[in-house]
Amino acid sequence: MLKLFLIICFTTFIFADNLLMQIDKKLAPRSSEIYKKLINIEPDGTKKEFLLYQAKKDSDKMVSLFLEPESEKGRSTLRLGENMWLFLPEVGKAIRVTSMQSIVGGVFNNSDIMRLDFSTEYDIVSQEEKNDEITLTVKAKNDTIAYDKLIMSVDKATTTPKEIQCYSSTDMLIKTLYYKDLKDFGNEIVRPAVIETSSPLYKGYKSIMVYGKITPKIFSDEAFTLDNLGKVADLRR
Amino acid sequence: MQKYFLVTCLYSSFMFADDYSFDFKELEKLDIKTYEYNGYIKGEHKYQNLNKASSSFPSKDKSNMNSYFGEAFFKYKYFYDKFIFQTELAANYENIDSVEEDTYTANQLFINYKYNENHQLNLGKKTATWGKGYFFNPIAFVDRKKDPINPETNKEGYTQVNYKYNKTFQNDLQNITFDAVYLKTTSDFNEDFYNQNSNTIAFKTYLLYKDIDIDFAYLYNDKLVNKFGVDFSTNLQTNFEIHGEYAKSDDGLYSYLLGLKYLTDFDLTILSEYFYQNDELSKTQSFWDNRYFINKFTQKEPLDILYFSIYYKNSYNLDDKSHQNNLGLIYTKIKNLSIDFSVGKNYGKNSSEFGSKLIDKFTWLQVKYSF
Repeated sequence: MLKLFLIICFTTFIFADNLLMQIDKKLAPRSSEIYKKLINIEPDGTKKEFLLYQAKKDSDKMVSLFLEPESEKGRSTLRLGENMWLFLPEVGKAIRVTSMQSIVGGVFNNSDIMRLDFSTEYDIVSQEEKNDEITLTVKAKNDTIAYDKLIMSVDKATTTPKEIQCYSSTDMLIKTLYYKDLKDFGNEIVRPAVIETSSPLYKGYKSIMVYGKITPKIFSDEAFTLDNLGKVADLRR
Repeated sequence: MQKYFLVTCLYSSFMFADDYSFDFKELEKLDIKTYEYNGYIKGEHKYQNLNKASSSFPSKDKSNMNSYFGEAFFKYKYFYDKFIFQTELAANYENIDSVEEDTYTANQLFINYKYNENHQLNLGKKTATWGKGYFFNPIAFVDRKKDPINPETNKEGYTQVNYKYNKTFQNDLQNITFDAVYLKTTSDFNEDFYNQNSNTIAFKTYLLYKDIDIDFAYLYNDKLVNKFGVDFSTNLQTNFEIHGEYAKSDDGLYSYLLGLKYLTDFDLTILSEYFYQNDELSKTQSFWDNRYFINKFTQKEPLDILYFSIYYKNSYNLDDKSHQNNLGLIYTKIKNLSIDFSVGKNYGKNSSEFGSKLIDKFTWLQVKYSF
């Protein structure tokens, strides 16, 4: 009996971990380049847009480069695990930044824009299936991660998130991310193209992330180093 | 009522559709070209109240003056095979109390050759930007001295040969980058670097070890003193970073800084740096004394006003207790336009560093347009 219980526990554990990995796999290839747009919308409807290029490798390496607007052009960020640096072209130097900061303003912070794989940062605490949806409660692996707890609603058919509630360590709801508009990006990448967020901390404000292009691409590990942070544009070549 | 409902629905649908649009033509226009460029134009106005107690005051003999500054900055990169040609050009105009001057500078002008992911060579005029400090950089051995009042301004580099080695690893030592720099100094070549007619070789080794940035720097000059330096930077928590630098030269002079950056949960960034140098510099230079403590507090989006931040900066001379204060606001809502407005005041005894400055208080406006 004990043996059976252990087998069930083990299987659940493996399945749970695999589910987060499956979600990660669905959202972006292990090594890929991404073009996406960030849109901040104010309560009066005025908008500000940012166009970003991102390169990703493995589960914990990412660089971002602002392509538009001109005032932000050349700004780039590097994320290696929980380490994050910002390169300011005018200063010609990289400085450490925190994942809770926002380099664009609005509801998205740095860790939302440069999100690592869920399976890298979180462990599944509980899992519940209902109709065509799975509800996952996941807990941060350590206290350096931006959100302590996530409650994820996952579409069973596509294994992609539909909604994610992000909580602080004091169990305060910081923001909710809504994944929308399932789209085929080619190369067997089918995922929501739009992530919309709202936050009780920013009443009336809304931020939207729209994926325009996701392409598998191989990068060297050296592309994700501090020394190359000023040369992210070269990765597009 | 029905009409109102219909209009609301139409408006909402329009907003909804528009929010999610991603025009692929936008990506097409970002086609990769053999060149890249960007830049900015900025204008500044300073209204300055003069300090009657300053020794420079008799030369002015009036209560206030106006100063105007303009800068056009252009950065250009050209790509050819494994080579990149890069330049940064700046044209500056200043009008300080009706005394005009303009300067034209090539801040950088160099060729980069990338042999592979690990080996690179740079040849030409280049800024190195060594060090982890925000206001001070004791280990910036091959850079022009940073101005703690304007730490983010573009700096002119030195003409050099720079070899760079970069390698990543999958263990506690995640990355190592090695820099070797050679500079020749003559009466008309890098003439303000160190001393005339000398040769300098400088090395820097960067390590990312267990999530800590560490640099070791060494400078050898065949005529003057050699220097050694070390710096570090790491995050103690996601919202709390610490950094430090230490530099020592063969003649016994040394300087160091300790700094931190802390972000509160209500988006206030606190940036603090303590700086010490055991040598007093010439009083004609800024920050000439031994000990300084600089604090900058930046509140992002106060009152939920997006693209708006306010800041307060205090530069304190711990030896003579004089200090400079700036209170300002930055607004960036308009596309590609940044507006920075601040007021400042110097405090201290008449003989102190900031108390003896010609400027007592000022208002400053900077408008910058990027292209």
